Amino acid sequence: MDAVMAGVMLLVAGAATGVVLTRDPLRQAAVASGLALALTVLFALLQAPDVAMSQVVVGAVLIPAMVLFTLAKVRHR
Amino acid sequence: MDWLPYALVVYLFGIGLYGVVTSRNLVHLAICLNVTQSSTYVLLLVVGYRDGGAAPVASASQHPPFVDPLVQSLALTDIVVGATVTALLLALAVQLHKNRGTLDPNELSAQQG
Amino acid sequence: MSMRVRITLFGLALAGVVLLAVPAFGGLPPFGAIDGLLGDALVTLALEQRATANTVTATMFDMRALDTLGEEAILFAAVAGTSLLLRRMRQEREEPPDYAPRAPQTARRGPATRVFGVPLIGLLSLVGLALLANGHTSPGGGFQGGVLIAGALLCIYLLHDYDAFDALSRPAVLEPVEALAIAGYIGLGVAGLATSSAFLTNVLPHGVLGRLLSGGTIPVLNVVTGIAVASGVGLILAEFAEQALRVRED
Repeated sequence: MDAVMAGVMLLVAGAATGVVLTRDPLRQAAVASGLALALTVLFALLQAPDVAMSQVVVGAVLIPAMVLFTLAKVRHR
Repeated sequence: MDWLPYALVVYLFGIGLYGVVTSRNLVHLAICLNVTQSSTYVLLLVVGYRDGGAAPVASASQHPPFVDPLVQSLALTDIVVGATVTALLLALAVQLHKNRGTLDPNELSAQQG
Repeated sequence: MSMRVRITLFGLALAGVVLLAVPAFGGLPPFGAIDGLLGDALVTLALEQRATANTVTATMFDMRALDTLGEEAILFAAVAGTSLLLRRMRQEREEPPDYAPRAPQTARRGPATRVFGVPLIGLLSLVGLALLANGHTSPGGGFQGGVLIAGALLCIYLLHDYDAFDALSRPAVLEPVEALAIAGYIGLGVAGLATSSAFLTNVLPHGVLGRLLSGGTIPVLNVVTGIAVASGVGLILAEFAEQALRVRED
């Protein structure tokens, strides 16, 4: 466990706190993709490139797209 | 500092569930559930990590020791499952908003048919 | 129950989980110093007997291929569930794509967006296909490449216009593709049954390490899974986009 990995773990914890404490779903989608990016860096440091690639495409492409479409549908009324 | 990864797992689990419990918006709830699920990805990878190990992609330059590949395949499946659960929850939120006009879980109760 | 009671109960439950987690995690081998015998055996197996460099892909599509079939079934169920939940209700109508003259979702994007965006779509598709095809020789694989290709499909809507995205991602186009891909996966498994005694046995010749066609059925299953994932994720995104942009209530 070196300093870089400890720092990235603390970054993940901070990003997760930010995601939960952001109440507005639109802003939360952006913070959630930031959490996905921090998790990707952590997975790459843990020597898991396949998992890191999966996390970045799911967390930065799929989840924000679905959340934004849902919010567009909900706010249109 | 070897307790830090496990502390991170418990923290992610706890703060995600706290978000689910105190949520006032179904979309916010779905994303907090995703945070809880990410604690399981971290736990799986942490359990398989080896100091000085390389990623389990063998080539001329990579040689043992490797980190554990089995938990990585489990974590890959886990990520896909998490994404599909979020998709279904968001579809449910859209339908609930159409029928009840609100996304607040506190205002949705079972007695309203 | 009120929020205060709910938070108190949650605090008690979390305290219980932490109390149990401390001895549980304390009983694990120390972080970074695991035994890992099964993992080492898997790497050796993938390298020597399957001629595959990426052990994670070999594990997912050969040693534990049945779990991957279950994962594709989960994706299939999610697509079916989303289509069912977001079906058109009796009191809704679907607007044609040009229902409002300058509506942002049907208007074409500005010229700068299109000039830089359309090559980006091609680039994303190529990167996704490269990840798909080389999943067994370098990090990557079916899921990563498949979701990236679905992301390229979404970029058609974001960077070009909705009509092109709708034409490519409507259920009549993508549902047969997804069904054929999953049927292909099962068909390869049955081929394993026919030639030896187990479902999803690796029956094709294993080839030389590092080549595109090595590892037997692993690259074929990789491609099939990628197609299934790309079409499944594309269908989910198309359903959400249709709800947000086309379905209106009377």
